[in-house]
Amino acid sequence: MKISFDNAYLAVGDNWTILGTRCESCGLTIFGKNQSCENCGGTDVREVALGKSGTVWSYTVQRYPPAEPYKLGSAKREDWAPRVVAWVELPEGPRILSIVENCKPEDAKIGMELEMFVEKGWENENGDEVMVLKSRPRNG
Amino acid sequence: MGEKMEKNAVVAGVGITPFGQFPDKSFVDLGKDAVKMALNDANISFKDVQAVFAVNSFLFKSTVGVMVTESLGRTGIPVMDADAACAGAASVLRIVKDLIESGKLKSVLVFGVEKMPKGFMPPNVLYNHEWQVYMGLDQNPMYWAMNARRHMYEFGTTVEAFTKIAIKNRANGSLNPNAKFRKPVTAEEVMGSPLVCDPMRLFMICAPVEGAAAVVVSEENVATKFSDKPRLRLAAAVHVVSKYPNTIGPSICIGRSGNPSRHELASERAYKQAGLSASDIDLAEVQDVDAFCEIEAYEGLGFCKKGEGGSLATEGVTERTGKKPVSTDGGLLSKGEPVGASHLGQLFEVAKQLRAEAAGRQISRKAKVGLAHVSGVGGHCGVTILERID
Repeated sequence: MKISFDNAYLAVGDNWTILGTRCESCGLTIFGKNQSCENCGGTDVREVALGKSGTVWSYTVQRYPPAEPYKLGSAKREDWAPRVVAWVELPEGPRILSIVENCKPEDAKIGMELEMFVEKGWENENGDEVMVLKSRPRNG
Repeated sequence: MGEKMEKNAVVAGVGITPFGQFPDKSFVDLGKDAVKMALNDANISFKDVQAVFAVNSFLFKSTVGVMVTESLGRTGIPVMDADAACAGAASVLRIVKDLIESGKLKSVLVFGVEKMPKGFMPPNVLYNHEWQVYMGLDQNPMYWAMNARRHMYEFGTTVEAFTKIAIKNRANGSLNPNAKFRKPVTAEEVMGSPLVCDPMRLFMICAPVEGAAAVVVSEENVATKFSDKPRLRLAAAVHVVSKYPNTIGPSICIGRSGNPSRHELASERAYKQAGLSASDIDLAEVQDVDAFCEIEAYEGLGFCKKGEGGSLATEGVTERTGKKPVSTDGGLLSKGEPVGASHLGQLFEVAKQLRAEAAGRQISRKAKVGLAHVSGVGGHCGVTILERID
């Protein structure tokens, strides 16, 4: 069975949806389903689906493997290939933290157009496929 | 009539251990060393302390405060433990200032102590979303680096500015016997050190370390009774958690909000509390966990306009001999960061400078007001200001 890495941020099924919360008080839209607004504390909020493409607001290259328990591959120094990580600005305004696939470190730049996509991240103890949200260059 | 009801809180004593790795010392040993030094510096004994606040983030023990102080005396006082990541000590000082100024207590001991593993900070301590750790989106330098990259894009800030800060702080650190790194570095060495998270290189990033620091905060008249050292008014003690967005770990969403940054929020409150402005600050210790964060602090603390922090570094304004010395003890880049003790270590330096006791690293200009700034995961931010009473 395919399940989401976190039901507050991503709905999976026949289709998939990036979840957000729009606040009717301050007007901001923020990543993730929430009962109140992280910006103003308002409770007049509604769940929205966020756009599936965006641009790089800023980025870095993660040169060292992360600490365990890392589940997307090997966290051994000798296996690690530097990867691009970005704040991706979605059309509704939120900038979300994302691994950028199919992008060489030297090709990353601010303003680069990306599309969000979903793929299997790992299997959990029940044998479910845990689907995670990532991004990649739109024309990559 | 006319007598001021509010008391003055002063930093009466400061203490510190060397920062680094000390496999032969327990956190109790380290904590006690710093506490005893601060008590001696204030010339008071533990029985004169009316409350203790202990700060740590990485010890995974219950009641560190008691473990460290019980051998100094079970004197029947409250001993509390606190954690607010890198701003833990600032969060406590905010309360201590009120306790002293309201006349409730006469002398309070605050200390911080850590034993921390080398390398990246253990993510499970700092990151609440398990999946964020599973996906490896949990290295603090990653956040600093993305903020740095955006600053370069918007304001033309250069890698040279980051390098300059690393060189400046390591040069200052070479004069600080308590710093972990005591060897100055050249531009070639900084740029030759490995990239960690572009554009940040190893020598532009601080290291988690072990160590302890302590301060005694007293009511002014009490401090004067015990010691004739210059009195340092605790002019401001502010702790805030950032408004949206939190731009550092473990944030997963930031966006345009129009809100002030955590640094602006904390420093504006601190200046108001102290009745001072950024131009009154003679020296500062800031959260230079990486070289860019020091630039961010210059701007957030109002030492320059937004976007001009890089120039402050490249023009030498913040050098020890400059107009606005920053990180005169070498900063976190030289000392390393024992999270719970770090802010008190900064105050140790500010106190030493204001009392003209900083030996070889004493700044040349006459210093009356010093500021210490911390900022950490979750958006915690603290600003503490000390002012010498002449």
